Amino acid sequence: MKRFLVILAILFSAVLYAQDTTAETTAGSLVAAADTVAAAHDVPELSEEEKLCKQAAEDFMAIYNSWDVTRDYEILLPRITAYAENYFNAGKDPNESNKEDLTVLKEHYESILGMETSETLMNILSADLERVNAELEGNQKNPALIGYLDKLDFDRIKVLEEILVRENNDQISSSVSALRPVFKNIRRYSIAFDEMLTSVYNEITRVTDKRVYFLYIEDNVKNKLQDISDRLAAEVDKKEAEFAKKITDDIDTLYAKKEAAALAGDRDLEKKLYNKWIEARKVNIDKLKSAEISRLTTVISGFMQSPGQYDVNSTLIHKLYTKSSDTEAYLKYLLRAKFYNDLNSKFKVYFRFEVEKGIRKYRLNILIASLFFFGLFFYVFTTVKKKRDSIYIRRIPGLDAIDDAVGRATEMGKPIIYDSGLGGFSSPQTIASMLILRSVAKKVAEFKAEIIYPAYDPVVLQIAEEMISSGFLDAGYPEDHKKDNCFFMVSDQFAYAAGLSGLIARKKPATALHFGYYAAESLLISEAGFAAGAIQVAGTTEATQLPFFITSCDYTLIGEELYAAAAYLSRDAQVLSNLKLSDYGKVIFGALFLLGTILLTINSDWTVISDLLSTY
Amino acid sequence: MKKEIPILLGIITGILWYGEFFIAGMFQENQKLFFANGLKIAGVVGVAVGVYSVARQNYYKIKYNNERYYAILRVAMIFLMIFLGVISGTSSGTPFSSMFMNVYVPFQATVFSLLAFYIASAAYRSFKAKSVESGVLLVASIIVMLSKIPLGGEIWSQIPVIGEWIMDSPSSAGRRAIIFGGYLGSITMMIRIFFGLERSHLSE
Repeated sequence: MKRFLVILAILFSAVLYAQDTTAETTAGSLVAAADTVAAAHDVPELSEEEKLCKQAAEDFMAIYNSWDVTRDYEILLPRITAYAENYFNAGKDPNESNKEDLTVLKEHYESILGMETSETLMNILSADLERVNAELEGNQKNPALIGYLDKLDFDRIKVLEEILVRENNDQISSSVSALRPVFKNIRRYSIAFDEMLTSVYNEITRVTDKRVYFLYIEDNVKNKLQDISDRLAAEVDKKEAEFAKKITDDIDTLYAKKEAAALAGDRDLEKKLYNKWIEARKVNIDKLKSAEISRLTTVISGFMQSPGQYDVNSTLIHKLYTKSSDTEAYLKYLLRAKFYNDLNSKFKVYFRFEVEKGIRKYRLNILIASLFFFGLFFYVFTTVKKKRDSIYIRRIPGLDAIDDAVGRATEMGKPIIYDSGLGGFSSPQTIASMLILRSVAKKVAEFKAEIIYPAYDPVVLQIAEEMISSGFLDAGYPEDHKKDNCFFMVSDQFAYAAGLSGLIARKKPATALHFGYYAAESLLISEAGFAAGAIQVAGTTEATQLPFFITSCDYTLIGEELYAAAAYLSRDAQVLSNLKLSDYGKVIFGALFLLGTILLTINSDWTVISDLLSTY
Repeated sequence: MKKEIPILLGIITGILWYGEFFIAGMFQENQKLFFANGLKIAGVVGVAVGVYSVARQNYYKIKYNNERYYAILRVAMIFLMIFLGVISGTSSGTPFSSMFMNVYVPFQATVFSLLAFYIASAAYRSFKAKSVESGVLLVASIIVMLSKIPLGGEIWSQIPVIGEWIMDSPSSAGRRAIIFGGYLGSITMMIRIFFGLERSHLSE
């Protein structure tokens, strides 16, 4: 009886324990559920800014969702299917062909690996064999094309082929002759696949871009995006006062810290804080607004539901080719992703445009300075017109030598070669060179010499032809101008240098004139002229090339002497005013630089002149 | 009107772009794209003009037996590259790409590498102590060259320091002065084009 009661007590305890556990779990669940409900009710309220961003995201998604993908899908599906089918059905199936070729590769690789070869060859072969085995076992890199070569594989096969050819081994030679057509075949299919994929990508992009464009120019979509941007821009503009205060506070705080470091005698810290203070002074309201735009855009993106990434790759081609059941869904997903990206980009551009428009007040110093220079220009122009003959220009030996150089060419019966460097027609150095060319052409016509002009830029060639014919016309000998002496050489730096050097070596000119923009080829050209025994006069504003010209040429025009040359040679009122204006500019800026340097030397905090001369 | 219209267009465009520097939002993105695309189109037309100029020049050379074989080679190479580009495209692995990588790039590298020899010959000619200034140039150039190689530090530990100072201080000052003068000259030239007073770019 006692034993029975003990067992009963144990069983009863066990039952009670089980009930307690269940009750705890239930209670725990109830508590958890209660917590969840409480949590749901405790969801933190969105701030005003977040509400605005959420509303903007919802409005944006409404525009996005209003676009029906079906139409573009129906347009694109047959077109891109045709691209894929043209690739796979043009002759032998690429997959079958590559599979056979991979099998051949595998056989030969394994055979070569069993021979005595160099370590480099072994390593590369092993790496490629690994790739081949993976492809044959079904672990394809490209689901649409077995044996597809990416860039790394292309390079590896190229190196492998070169090494195989170099191996001086009879046994390998037979493999090489079998492998080379296989490599060529696989490369051909991979390149064609890439081109087909590019065509598919371009087709999809073209159709969706057109869709976005037409939707965009429909007033409704444009106005909706404008409306969202206006609201967000108003939110950013509200913070303008706050940003302005932040800028001044940062500057003041850093200045105070710098002074404290100076008082404490910590020179390193003072220098660091001084640099930070200078950097803080360069921060303007536009930079802060730009950062705010980026921040808000991130917040808005958090509320948007992006459809996914737009990536036209081999997966699409594989689905098209195998006519997979989910092709429609996949293509529609890609189109939605593309449209989302395009619309999002348009929206961001609009947002930024609405915020950033307005006067850039931090550039007022440049505006005032430029208006002052315009006024000074007209004053100088009118003054120079009246006093043209009495204006003094210091002697520039290089330009005085041009007369002698042209005379030398006439006496020796050799031509003059004139080149204007690498600049395009918008480069000020090229324009200055053209002005000099006209004066030189006039002298050449007077001396009955010959001038050859090889051009780097075809547009500059047209201008140069006109300059030379104008020069000959000014001299009164238009019939002496030979059009064939002005020709286009090449629009490549070193090819131009090689061509010009060759021309100088063959023609052996008496004079070579180089005025314009030059880069590394300056020494090549001038040394060629030196070797040919020509008198050389060069001029450029490129400080890095001047030493080469000074070394190899007889006379060099340094910096603004190139711009002065046209005035020097022609004494034209407009060009003289150019010269005087740049002289006045040098004096004014030189004085400002000197004053700024003195002020900063006395006290590094006196940055008023450097602030005046800076723009951001 | 042939000259007046380009000048007027230049003035209007200049004012708009001048304004754009000070007033954000003068141009929308698609308007800026219009100008950028316009420049590209002008460049493409320029290339066509250049090809015509080369073809014409070489035609006369071939016709009148003036460097005939070089002219034939030149024209043949131009048309070969055009043909290869059109037929097989310009992507990696195509014959066009092979010609570019295996012919053009080595040629370019060869011409560039000639500079090393030319620098040596130019330096040999110019580093001569004929006057005080050229003597100073000679000494400064020797110190700077030594400062760039480990030997300079081995000779005297201060050579790299002096070389750096020469590059950072007097050399930079002179270079900046030249650049500054050049920029002022180009600004004044741009002002003249801006106001339509400079017409050399219109072949006048």
